[in-house]
Amino acid sequence: MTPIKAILLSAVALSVAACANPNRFDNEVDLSATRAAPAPVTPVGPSIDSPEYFKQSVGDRVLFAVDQSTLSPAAMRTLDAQAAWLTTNSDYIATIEGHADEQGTREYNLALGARRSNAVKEYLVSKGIPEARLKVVTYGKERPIEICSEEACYAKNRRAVTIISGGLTS
Amino acid sequence: MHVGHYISGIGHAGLIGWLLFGNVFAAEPLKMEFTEVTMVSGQEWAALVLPESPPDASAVVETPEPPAPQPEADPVAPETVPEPQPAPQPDPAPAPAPDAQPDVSDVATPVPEAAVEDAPPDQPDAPAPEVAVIVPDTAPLESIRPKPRPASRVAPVPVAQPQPETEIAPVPSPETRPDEASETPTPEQDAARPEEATTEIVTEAEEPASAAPTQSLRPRGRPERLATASTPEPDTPAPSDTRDDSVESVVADLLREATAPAAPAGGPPLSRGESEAFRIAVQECWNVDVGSQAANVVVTVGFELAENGTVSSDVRLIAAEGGSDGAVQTAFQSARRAVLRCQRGGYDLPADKYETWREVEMTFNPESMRVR
Amino acid sequence: MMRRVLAIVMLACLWAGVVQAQGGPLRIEITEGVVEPLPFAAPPFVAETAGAADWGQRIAQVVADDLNGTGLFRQIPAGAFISQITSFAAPVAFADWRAINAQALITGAVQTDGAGNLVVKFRVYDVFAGTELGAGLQFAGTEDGWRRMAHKVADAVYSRITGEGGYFDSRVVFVSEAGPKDNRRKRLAIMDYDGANVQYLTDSSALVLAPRFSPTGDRVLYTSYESGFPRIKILDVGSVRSRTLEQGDGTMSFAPRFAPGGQSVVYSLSTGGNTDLYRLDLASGGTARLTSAPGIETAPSYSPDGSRIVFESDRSGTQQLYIMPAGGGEAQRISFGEGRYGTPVWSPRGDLIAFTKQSKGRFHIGVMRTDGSEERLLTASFLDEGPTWAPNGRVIMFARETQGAQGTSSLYSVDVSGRNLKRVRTPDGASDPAWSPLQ
Repeated sequence: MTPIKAILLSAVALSVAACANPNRFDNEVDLSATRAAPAPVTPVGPSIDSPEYFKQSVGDRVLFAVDQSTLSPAAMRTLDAQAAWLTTNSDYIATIEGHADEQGTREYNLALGARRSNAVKEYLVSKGIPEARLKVVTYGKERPIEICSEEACYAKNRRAVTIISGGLTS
Repeated sequence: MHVGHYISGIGHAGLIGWLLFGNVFAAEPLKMEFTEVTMVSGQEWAALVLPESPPDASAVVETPEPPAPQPEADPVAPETVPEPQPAPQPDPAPAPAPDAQPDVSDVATPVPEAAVEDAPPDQPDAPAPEVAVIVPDTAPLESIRPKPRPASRVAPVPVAQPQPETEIAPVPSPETRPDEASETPTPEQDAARPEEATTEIVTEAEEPASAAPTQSLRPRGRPERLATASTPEPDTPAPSDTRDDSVESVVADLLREATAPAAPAGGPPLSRGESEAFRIAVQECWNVDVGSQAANVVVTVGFELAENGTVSSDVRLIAAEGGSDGAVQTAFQSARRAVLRCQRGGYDLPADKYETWREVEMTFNPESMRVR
Repeated sequence: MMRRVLAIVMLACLWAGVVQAQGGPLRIEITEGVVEPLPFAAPPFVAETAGAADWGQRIAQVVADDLNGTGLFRQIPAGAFISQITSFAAPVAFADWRAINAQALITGAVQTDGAGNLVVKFRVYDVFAGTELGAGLQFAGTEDGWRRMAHKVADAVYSRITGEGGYFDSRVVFVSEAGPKDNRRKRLAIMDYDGANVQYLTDSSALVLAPRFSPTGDRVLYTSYESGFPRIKILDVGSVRSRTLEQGDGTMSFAPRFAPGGQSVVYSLSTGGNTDLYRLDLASGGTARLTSAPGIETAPSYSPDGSRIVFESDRSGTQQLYIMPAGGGEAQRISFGEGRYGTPVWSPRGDLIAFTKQSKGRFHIGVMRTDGSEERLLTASFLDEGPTWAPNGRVIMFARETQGAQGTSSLYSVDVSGRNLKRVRTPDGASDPAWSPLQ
């Protein structure tokens, strides 16, 4: 492993850890400017079995290194928490979105996003979540959440986001 | 070593000075075949030359401008074509507009010489025809370039874009009226005008800012010319300069002067300098489309010259190598244009050796210019 | 390189030597020329019926714009003309056109019948040779189709002067983009090659990507997220009707391209995180898997004869270009330079492959021979991608995205020699261009 790679990976691991922080308010839908800033957890949070709780407290996303789809230890911790929540709330299904940063060609990034979402899916399946409850989709570089053209933004865009939806019946 | 530099520097300065103030002003009349040029008015003249000036808003010709209407420079310009307002289209397509795929089928196969019926209505059911036009690259080209600057012209000898302050004097041909001359750095009708030129195609990818390690454009032309120039055999002065006075040809003349062999030689063979000058005179007019199939073709053309140096016969194709028939035709036409265009008032060849150059076979080999 | 230069110099000397020889014609070899736009004159086409004058001007202008736009030609402004063309049949005063250095002269005439029909005829002259290039040609059509008629005239002129096919009577399908980067709305659009006549084929309710024309230009393949997942759709350009191509559940498919015959489609299908190339027969709906490597195989492109497919794969560890037989089988890697190579597109001439290259943080559009040799990069920017060839294999169009939070995407075109880089103006942002065949 080259030093650069090592640095990158540790940086990613750090940011993943940040991401896994249950206190982190990271609203996928709200794209307003405050999005990235961690917000204090209000005493009256969403109920523990709601998708909002999953998103805000469990941590709905994991990040990846450049051009990689392997899960970092921090990512695995986030996914362990996701698996636990999904196990408890067994009537929800999850769609895992794979994303890439803008530094790549469009179709390659679609394939890369597919790899990332699949890596998350396989991990969750390995933790006992039935495959039928997990869908994967890739958006490649089409849906960035951060729009600057710098590594700080790229790091957040190289992600797989677990979206909780409906019940199994829907 | 240093002394050499000084000598060289002085020599060059002298040369430049001579170029600027000497020969150019004192030049003999242009031998122009077509004196009608004088009829060009000052205004027209300006229009003519405008396109040659650097990025100028009114430079309509070099690169299509945004949808803006043509500047006044072009009196015939119709309302610009890509104008949003629809053409005088009478009533909605009287032509039988088939609903399915209207655009593709109708004019799709125009038969030469035969009327093609119903041109296509452009997609009747498609919404809102909007209009866009091709505009020149507006993206900023980064940074300093140690390499040749991109120019629309690539020539064996680099020609710097004349700076406004430099005031490269116009060719004082008898036909050119001085008043307009002062505002026109270069005469358009002179094919050998010193238009800005680089010695090679500079693609964006080859600019230093880019990290483009692979490029296969060879530096051609210039090294060769330098090589020629660096081995001068100072000898007899070349025949008097009767050709045009563009910088390029002045350079050519210099070269010829420098390389002309010693013997005054009433004898038939052309000196190296004389044949070089002939070669250079033609190559200035040989326009090679480097990206085309014709750039793979070597053609040899034959023609005869009158004693005054003008082409007195048809230019005919003698041989061609490589490429399809179409490419050969194109290569031949391009060679023919070169020979015919650059003759101007007649190629400058020594009259006493007429028999050696009455018949000419000229081979045009684009190998060193090809991009691939 | 040096050796080559030396060889040229020696050749020149050799010729000089030959010149000294007695008898026979004087032999000269020209090895250096200039590369510059060829000046041409295109006076307004002569009106042969009342009311045709306006058409004559418009058509001549579109012809001139087409030629100017290639970078290979340069229009001489009408203000410089010494003589005018007042009759299509009258002999041309070549001396007048030589005097203004018009190397090619295009004359034409227009007739209208007052009922919306136009007849356009034209001739092309080599001014210095004083000859006509090819014979006069005539097109007839409706006034609505006047631009296409002008493009056809320009194609014929281009072809007669360059010896190669034209590309002006062609269209481009692309993705029109609006909105900021994190909320970008995309829809399919189609336009003339020069940016005129933009029309939208889809709305922006669902993400659409990477359209491609069928070999006859009547259908478009693209990727749509209408179902929430990337799926391949095929759209009929005339009726603007589309349908989703059959695919298995739980899979994602994208990067569809027509085979040269138009009967089948090659595309990428992602399942279980692995992306491979498949072929789908449009009539039967049957599919065949073409690659089975564990890496990403995508961005396929057929050779013009349909025998081979060039595609990108990261099986070596990074994105590189490979060529395999059209039916699948062993693939040969053809890209070996520094950096990553993607989106290969086979030239319609068959001789070159255009690609996107990423190297040292920049993107390039480049071309290489089909064996991977003679790589040349034509552009460089923060993000260039997705080359598409003009139908004559001479020009490449691609998308360029600018850097930063305000970044937008636009279409650019560049001559295969690397010259004449310019933007293609579109109403909004634009990406993923695909050039149609000549219509």
